[in-house]
Amino acid sequence: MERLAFLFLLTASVVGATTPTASDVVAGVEKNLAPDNFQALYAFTNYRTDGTVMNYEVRFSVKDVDHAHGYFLKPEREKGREILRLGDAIWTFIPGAGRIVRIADRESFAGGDFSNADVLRVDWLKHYKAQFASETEKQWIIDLSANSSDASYAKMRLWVEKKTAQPLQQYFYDSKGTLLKRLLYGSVRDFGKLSRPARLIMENVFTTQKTELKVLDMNFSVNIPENRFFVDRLGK
Amino acid sequence: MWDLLRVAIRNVGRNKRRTLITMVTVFLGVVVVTGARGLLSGLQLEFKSALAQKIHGDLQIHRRGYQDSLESNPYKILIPYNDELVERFTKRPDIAAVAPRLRIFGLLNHQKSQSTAPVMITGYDPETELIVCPRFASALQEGRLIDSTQEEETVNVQDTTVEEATSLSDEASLENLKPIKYMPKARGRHQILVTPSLMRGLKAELGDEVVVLLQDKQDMQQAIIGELVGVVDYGMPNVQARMAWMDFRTLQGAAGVRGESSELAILAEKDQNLDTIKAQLGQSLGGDFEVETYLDIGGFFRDIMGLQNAIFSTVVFIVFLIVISAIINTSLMTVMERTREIGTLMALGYRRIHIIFLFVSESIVIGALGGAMGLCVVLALLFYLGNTGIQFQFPGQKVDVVLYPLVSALFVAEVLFLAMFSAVAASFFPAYRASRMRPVKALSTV
Repeated sequence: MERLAFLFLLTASVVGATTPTASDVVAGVEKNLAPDNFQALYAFTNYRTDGTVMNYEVRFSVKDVDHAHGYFLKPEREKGREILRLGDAIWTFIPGAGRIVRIADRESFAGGDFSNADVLRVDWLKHYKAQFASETEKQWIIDLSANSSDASYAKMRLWVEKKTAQPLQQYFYDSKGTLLKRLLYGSVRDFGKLSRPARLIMENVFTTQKTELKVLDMNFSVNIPENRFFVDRLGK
Repeated sequence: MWDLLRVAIRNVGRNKRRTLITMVTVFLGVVVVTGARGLLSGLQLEFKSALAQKIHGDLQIHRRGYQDSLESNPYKILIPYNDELVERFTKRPDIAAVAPRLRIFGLLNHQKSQSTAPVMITGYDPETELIVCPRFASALQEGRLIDSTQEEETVNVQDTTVEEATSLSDEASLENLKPIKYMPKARGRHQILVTPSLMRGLKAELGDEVVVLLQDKQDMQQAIIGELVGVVDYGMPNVQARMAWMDFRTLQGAAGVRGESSELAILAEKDQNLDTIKAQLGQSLGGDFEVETYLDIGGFFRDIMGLQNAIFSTVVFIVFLIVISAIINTSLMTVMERTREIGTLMALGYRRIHIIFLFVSESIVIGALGGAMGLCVVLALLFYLGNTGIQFQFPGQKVDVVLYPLVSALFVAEVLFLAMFSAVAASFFPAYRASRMRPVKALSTV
């Protein structure tokens, strides 16, 4: 429904001769990547430059943009680890130590190339100003410039397919314009309530290390208990 | 008494072998103790010199809690740094120079080998750093130091990649991802120094391109592209192995902390008492700041030196215990051999105190002679080594360090006093026994 509503909005904008703004497009992508109230199973694979490969499986429960909870299912060593986002704060529960620790959202997620914010904070319009860098027949290319000190990157560039309103590619830059990371989106899959890219590859352009994220499953008919998003409930 | 002293001196020469044995014992004791102190003092002087003149500076000013927060949140403990502040310090008669440093943790990526390592990056001002830490230049093992005049500010780049992107297909393997057509890199000219272990770990060579990846004060990710220009090795144990150095202003700019630094290193004027400066600065700066001497910062070395001194004191005690035992032994033998002489002296009217004085004087002469000869030999040796130096390496280090042994005049006087005191203490008991003899019985002893 949300996908249809968004496509309808875009189509209406075109038909009505009012082209969508860059913010409209980004808002649609945000809503598609991080809708409210769902559970999803994500598989992360970190491909390190030394040849080692690490696999993680995390079940995410998301209430809204400010409330997200992740529970590590694999590997066995990490089973029981939890991660909780409450607004701008991120907490993790480490089962081995039995402790809850507040972590920075810029830190690497599970040792890969995604940061915690990349995975848990798809609220770009809150921290970035969106404007078109270019527009082709098939794609919008949007620059997102940080306008808040809470932004993780000075600038991002997002490629969005007009036909599907799905993201295709995303670049991340530092404040001088140096490219830091590239995120590739693909394998758009229908998860019922919405379709979204089910395969993402984040590449650190300097270290050439890559992390692959696969969305294995998304479930929207869930009733996530409120206490899942309490810090003191982590590990219980 | 003068007669007795003359007799005592003459007696020293009467039993040459016994005198020689005692003197050699004192001689060796003095040589061992003074020589060991000389080497130890030279080692400790090298520790202190390296800490103050190569690494830390005489004193440092930090935000309170610096040591605890440096790794976890280096931006939380920044202190102001500006010309006005520097002038405020250098106006003091006891401070010669001030150098700022900025310390941040990040990743160092070597482009050619695609190796990346976590690293502590220190931004330093090449001009003032070499005044405050003049021996920093001697830590350079390869290449050259950073030259501020060769630094060029990074010029912003604009990504012109506005071409269409292609969707990631299901089949696309990680090896066959579409390469990035245009990789914008904001370049300036930035020089970077690293430690040898980092150089080895990254498989890097001088002149290679490296990228420093860090989070700025706003927690935004930043990249600094630079060139490896030198390898720095302090050659000291217990110093962080993964370190990189950059120009202070370049790092300030990338980290977004203009007008701030992590610490201020201070060079005190010659012969100034660092603890006094520390106390005065601490009082004038207030509770938010802490002033530490190089020994406070290098606490490990202060503890090591404390331990060395404690062990040395024990060694001194044991050595002089052996010396005392040897003197007691020979003195007792002497008393036994000279029983008739003691009886004769007493029969001639010498009192018991004179007998004690005679034997104690003999020991003092032996102690003084043995001690003085020992000191002459060991001081000559230390003087020679103090001029030529002894080249060595600290355990686990590959950098040669030159140790210059030295002993203070006070220590020399203490050793001489100790040698004579040991002689007196050791001879007192035999002398007392001799003084308690009955003249008639002593005279009849065969």
